[in-house]
Amino acid sequence: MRSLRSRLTFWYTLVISGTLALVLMADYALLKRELVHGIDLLNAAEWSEIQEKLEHHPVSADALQEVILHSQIDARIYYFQIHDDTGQLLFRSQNLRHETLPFDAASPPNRTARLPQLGTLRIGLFHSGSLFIEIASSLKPTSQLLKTYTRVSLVMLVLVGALSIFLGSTLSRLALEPIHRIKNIADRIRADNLSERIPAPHGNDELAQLTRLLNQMFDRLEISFKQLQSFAGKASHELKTPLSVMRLQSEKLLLEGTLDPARQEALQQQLEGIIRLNSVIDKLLFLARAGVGVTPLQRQRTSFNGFINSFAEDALVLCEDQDVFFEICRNDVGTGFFDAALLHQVLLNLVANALNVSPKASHLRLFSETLAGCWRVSLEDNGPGLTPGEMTTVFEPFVRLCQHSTAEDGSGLGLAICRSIISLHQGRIWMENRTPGPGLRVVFELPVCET
Amino acid sequence: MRVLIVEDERKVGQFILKGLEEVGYSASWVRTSSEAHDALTGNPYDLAILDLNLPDEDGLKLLQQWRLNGFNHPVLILSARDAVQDRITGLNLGADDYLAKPFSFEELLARVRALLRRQAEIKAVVFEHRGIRLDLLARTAHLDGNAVELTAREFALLELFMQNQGRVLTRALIAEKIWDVSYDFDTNLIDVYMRRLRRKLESSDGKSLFKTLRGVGYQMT
Repeated sequence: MRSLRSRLTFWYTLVISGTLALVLMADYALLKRELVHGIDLLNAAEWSEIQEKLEHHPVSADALQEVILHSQIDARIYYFQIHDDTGQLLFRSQNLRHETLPFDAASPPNRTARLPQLGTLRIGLFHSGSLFIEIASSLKPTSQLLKTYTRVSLVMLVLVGALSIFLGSTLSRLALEPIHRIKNIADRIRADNLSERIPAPHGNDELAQLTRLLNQMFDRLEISFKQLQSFAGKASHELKTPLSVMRLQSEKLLLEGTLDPARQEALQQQLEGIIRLNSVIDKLLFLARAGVGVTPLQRQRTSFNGFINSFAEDALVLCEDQDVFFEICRNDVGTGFFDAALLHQVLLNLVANALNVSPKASHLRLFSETLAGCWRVSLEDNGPGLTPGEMTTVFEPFVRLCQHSTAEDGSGLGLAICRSIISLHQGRIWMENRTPGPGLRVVFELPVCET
Repeated sequence: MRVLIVEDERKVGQFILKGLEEVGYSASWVRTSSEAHDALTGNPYDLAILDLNLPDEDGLKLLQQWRLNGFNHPVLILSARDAVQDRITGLNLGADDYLAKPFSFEELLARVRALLRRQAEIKAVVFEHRGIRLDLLARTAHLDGNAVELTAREFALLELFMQNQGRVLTRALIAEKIWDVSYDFDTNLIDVYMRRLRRKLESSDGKSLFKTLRGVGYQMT
């Protein structure tokens, strides 16, 4: 039972049905005792009737005769049996047929016995002079009554059980509704609508307190996000304004064309440095924002096929330029909800990295396939692959794998950006060495849109 | 053509002012939002260059106000803040183009011209330059009368250069117009495409069609 609602319903049903079952069982025991007691009283009443007659016939033989006579009158209701004080059986009423009531002069005055033909009987033992008279009544009507009681109780128990499941479920739904509302709103609050708050319920109950607590937490989160936004904005402004002036002036001097070749070369290098510095600033800001989820994504429903086609044109051009064969293997029917420009950048980055380590005339293979609920893209190269140590840090910022690479520059931020872009899309990215090698396989997976 | 520059940084503002005046525009430069407001109420401008980081008010608010007050001329946003976020907000609020700092003056000029031209001219559908004929409707390219096979990207790239003949196109502008990204690729993709275009459009006169300006971009000569 995963939900609180089903747990609450279960316990509610258990308590209600259990309590009812206990009450019914106690009632059953009480009823049974009272009914048997009633039979005892009837037996005793019969005895007092007989006793009254015996007072007029104190002589033992007469007394016996009197009891026998009485037994014949009430034979439909009572069973009679008479012993003398020596234990000898003097009389057995005819309705006992071939059976005998168990006799023990020392037994308690009322007891229950079961006879094979007559069923369960309640026997009262009475004493007058030298005679021991047993008067017994059948317990059949009583047990029938108790059986009916049990049947009715069971039906009631089932009905009450069903009713309590319904009531428990309804009550817990009502009780948990405010929590669901809070959950839904809290779920909706993300980086782009951090100013939304959960409407506080009236009063000061537990829910109102929880709501206030959550809203306070969102307040703090919003402030932190704003601080980060503001920091990124200010840092960007402070760094880029002087860069603008430097770039504009260097460019102007270069375009004027009045410099001697040595100075022109120096200035060109400076200009390239400025552009690279700007690119590093952009990437760092991107990583900082992506890390806290404030990067806006231009997500659109896009078909995997169309996206890969568009990318393939660029990949082919890059591979041709490096004399590397590019192949695509695909089975990618379906659509995703992603920022195509950013994913294009991820793939370009991966291809560029792979080309840096690919020998001439080697193959670069791109696999695009839709698996259960996800779209998997993998890129395989014929490069040297990675050591286990490199594998663990390869997506960290400023990690460079220089020993294999033929490229001179690169900020060491490319793969960190790739990972953050994939994470922003609720996907995952990893690398593995190909077996049999050598070669590296980079894989990323994104969720597929439900149709 | 009158251009209003709203830029609080003295050096950047002066540079743009001087640069625009050198190529023949009549430009005014103000440093605050209130000055910009006054300037716009008194004088007719054909275009405004607006920096978002102003000392007295956010540039985006100023832009919103302009649009509410009926200023319908193009506005080019200039910002050092996060390119993606501000770009989206700015364009949503009615800006016509966006340029991130640090920018190349050539790129600013190309964008200013494009914005002013957008208002005045009907877009050409056939371009001709140095023996190259590019037909945007038929999607065909010819060199000295012979058909040239171009991929979709190569065609788009050539179209961009044809529309901006003689102007320097920065890598950032090319990436934005062709691939719709404002990030650096970290690859030599643009250079590779330029090499291919050069190879395919090698003209008979032997002179290079595209000039590479290191650190800046490319120019169709």
